[in-house]
Amino acid sequence: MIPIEYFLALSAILFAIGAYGALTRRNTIVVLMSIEIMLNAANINFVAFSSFFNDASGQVFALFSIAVAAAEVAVGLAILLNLLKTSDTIDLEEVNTLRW
Amino acid sequence: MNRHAIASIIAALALFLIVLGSILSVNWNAGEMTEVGTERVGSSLFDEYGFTFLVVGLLMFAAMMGGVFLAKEDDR
Repeated sequence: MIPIEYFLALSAILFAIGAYGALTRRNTIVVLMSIEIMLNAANINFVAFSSFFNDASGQVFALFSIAVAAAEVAVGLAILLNLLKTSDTIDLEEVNTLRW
Repeated sequence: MNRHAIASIIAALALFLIVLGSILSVNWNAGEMTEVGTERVGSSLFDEYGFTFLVVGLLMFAAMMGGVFLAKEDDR
């Protein structure tokens, strides 16, 4: 039987990888993917606690979290399309204006 | 490797070590791993969190509308 600390450690590793990616990468799509990795780390925590304490609420929250992540990515990619149209780049170092 | 990447590695490692330390220092008092089952998840989703489910549906509808509006090609 796997102890709960292993799941929490896996989640911490995933969150650290996502934070590193979001801090260093300059490609906006890769940053979005890193944010997804961090959200999935939180989902692993939800499901692990739900399973170990035999409570369905955690898995319901994981479902809500997946839905919110999908909505966020839909809007994010649309903004990215507009960014590419207006400034011809998706490099985060180049994008330093809030309006044009 | 530039200074930005090194600082990010240090920040991510420090975050990981702090989180891991706090995970290992807590007595979680968790029992065995059990199977919750899709039936209980489904009834909890619709009984306890029915209103939240509706709000999430509204959120995804708004996100879809926003995404379509932002991404559409303006033909004039």
